[in-house]
Amino acid sequence: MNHTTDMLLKRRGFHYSFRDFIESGSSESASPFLRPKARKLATLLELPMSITSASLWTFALLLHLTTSWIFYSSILLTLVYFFSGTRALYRAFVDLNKKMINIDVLMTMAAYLCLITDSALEGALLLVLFDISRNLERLVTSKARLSLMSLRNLAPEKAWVVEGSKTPRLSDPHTLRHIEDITPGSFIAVRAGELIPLDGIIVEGGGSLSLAHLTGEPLPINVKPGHEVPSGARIIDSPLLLRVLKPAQEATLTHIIRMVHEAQESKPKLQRFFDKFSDLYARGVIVSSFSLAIFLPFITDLPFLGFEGSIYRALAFMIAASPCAIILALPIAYLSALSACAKRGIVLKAGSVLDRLASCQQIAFDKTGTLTRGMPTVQSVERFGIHLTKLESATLTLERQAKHPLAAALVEYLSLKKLPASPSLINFELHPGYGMSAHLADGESLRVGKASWAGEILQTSWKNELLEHMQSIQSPGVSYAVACHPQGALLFQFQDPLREGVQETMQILQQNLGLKLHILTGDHTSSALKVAKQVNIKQVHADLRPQDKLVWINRLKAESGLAMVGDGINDAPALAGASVGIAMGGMGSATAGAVADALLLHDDLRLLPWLFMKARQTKRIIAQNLGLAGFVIIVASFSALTGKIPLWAAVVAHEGGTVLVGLNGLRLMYSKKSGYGSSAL
Amino acid sequence: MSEDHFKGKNADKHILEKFLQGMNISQEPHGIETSGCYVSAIDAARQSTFILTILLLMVAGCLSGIKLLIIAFTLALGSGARSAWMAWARLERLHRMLEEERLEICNNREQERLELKALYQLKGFEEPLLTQVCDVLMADSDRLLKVMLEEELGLTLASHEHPLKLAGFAMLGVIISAGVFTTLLSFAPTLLIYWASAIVASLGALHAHLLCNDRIHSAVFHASSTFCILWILQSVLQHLTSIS
Repeated sequence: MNHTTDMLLKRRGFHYSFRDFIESGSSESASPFLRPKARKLATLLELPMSITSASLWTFALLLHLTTSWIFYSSILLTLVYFFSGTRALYRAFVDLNKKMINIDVLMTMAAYLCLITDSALEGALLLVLFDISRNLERLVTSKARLSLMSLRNLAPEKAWVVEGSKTPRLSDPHTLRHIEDITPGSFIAVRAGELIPLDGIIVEGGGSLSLAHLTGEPLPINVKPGHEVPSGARIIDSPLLLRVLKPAQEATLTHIIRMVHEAQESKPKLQRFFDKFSDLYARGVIVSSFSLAIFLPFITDLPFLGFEGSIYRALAFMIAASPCAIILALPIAYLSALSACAKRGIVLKAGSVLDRLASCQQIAFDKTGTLTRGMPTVQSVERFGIHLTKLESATLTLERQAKHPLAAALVEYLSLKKLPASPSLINFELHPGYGMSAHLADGESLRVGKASWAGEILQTSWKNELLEHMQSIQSPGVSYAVACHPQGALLFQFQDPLREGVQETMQILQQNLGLKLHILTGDHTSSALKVAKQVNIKQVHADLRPQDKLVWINRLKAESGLAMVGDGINDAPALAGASVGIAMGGMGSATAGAVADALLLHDDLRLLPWLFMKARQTKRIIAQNLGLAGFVIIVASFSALTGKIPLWAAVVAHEGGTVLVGLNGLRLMYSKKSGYGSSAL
Repeated sequence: MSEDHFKGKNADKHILEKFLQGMNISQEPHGIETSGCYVSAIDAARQSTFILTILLLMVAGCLSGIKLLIIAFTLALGSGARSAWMAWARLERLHRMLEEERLEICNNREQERLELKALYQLKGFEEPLLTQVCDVLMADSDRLLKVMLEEELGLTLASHEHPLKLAGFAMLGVIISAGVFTTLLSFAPTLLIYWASAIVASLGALHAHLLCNDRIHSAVFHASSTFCILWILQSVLQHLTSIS
């Protein structure tokens, strides 16, 4: 298909994925009915509208300061009320329609009542601040929601069904079906390199199966007829015929997706507390204002109407009690901290992540890909026999044709050596589950793969020596591959090495920051213990499936706040379930990144101590800000209520407090370059 | 289950009903044909020229140049808001329709297969090709939803402009037409209804051109109808003035 045709098809919506639209919550920016350019426009509109409002308000303020331009200031304020107020009014009426009185309703009421008390400038400021904080929140949540699509997109929704006979074979004709239409007992074919769409049992075929998506383990396992394989695994080198065991709704990958969603739903307890508190506050202020307006004349000598009347004072009280300072104080503190983190390659999805991080007393680490690099590398090579340089060159050429992770490690290792040009190879052949073979131009055989299979072509004396040596050196967490030609063999040992600076980081986290560390891994106990010993972590939980990790997370979280650091899809439920999920942003899977609260963009664990210190600093500053904002609100509202100070003075005190807490929050932008984690900066 | 989904009708009748529903929903604020921002601008310009002429005829003595400009600006804002609102309303209905269809596909797969079969049978497909086509389409949720939206509901994907762009063009249309209007007014105020009709006729021809319709027919119709209406209005107003 040529480029022009492809463009035309795109324009007509042929490549459109409705999942994007549905996952975005029917967002205009993903609407299938809008032209692609119109979708882009919708994406660009959300936050800029708030910024336009803020700019208009600033101009209005400047014009307001000059007596001769006040008329134009009021025109601009009307526009601010239109841009920010329309949405606020809509939200407030929706909430009222649901019989909810919350902070939205209070803020909107206060902003519009400002018009009655001739304080449109203050009312417009309330609307602008509220609008900006709402839009920022929406931007972050919609991004997180969109990125979760990567998990859904990973799950295949179609499968090749093999029909026609009672004992089907891979060679029988296939029909493409939606997995929802495939019942247990049906037979499906999976092509080499594809993801397995439904849990099943192998009937025909076999080879290397990668469980990297599900368990995080980078090394594939060998499977053959009779083995059960889960959906989400990838068959690397050979087609498979499977008998389906479970319907689509119960498939392993669907189960993981469901777990991630459930864990995410159960997370924001702290957020719920704040929501409840702000609802109570809003109700309290609204009820108090109405009560004051109605009852003040009965208990004092104040009239109902006029500038000295109870209605006017109640309005002043409501405006002064609107949490303007709090609404500004929190986002500024969070944004400053987020910006400081972003400069160091740490992306936080919301400011509240820092809050939760500061209360964490424990950290759980995944092993493969988190503490270790997650990629096997050649640790050592042992040589048996003669003509081994020629064998090395031929191995490099042969392994360049393979997709296996060990082959990639071999190519990386051998490419760094200055090897002579490879002899030409013919008859390349892939042996699923065993390795690759070829022939040199002179007819000599060459095999690279499992020792027992590759060693078959070795001369007997070398063969025995190789196999005996292998038996003596077997060790957990180490993989082996052998390259053979009849006169010699190369025995490669592979290991997944630790990331740089991990040992020092773990020491700082435990000793200087007082955090309790755990390892949660799907790997074998022996290799988990080996890594734990290297990094000095005492609590090790191994052989865990994704659901087991989540169980451990919930158990540990019940003791105290827990951060989880991971990288794979298998870590996704645990990352979503932990108090704070931290994903490796560089090497980690998109799914882990999607469900986590924080991303380490450069996969540098040495930044963790700095991040924890920043979170604790943010919590301190927010506490100071809340205290100051609360004090200002109390003083301003009671002064306005009792008439001790005029309304304009109450508003000045109110706004002055707002500026102070804003400036205090800005301190978080700056951080000392020395200290924990500085080695990674 | 099947009866519930089709509400007592067969698949053919269900499809016809859905198609009409889709046609109704996809109607544009500026006519049922493809709107686009230019049509939006022309429509708003035509309407504002008409309104300004009527206003001038009715309160000619009270309208200064500045006041006329303020009215034109207000008309521009009003036209923009109207365009945006109507386009958003349409988009909301389209999204609701899509969600309904998606839920039907998720929850009533067998019934959707029957609908699909009926659709392609009407297009002339016969067994075994008909079943094969249905199998291919049923295997891919995205493709199936797209087919159902386009074939069953008669909707067109990726064809609508953003409501705010439509609004922007509507405002631009009003501003340009008001500019032309005031310029002509300063040169030939006594010939108001003649050149106002000419402006409306030109805009009508442009509209027809964008829709690939007959330009001459459109221009003549617009000129004739506008002139008649304005002439009658002017005569009535003169008559009322003479009586009083």
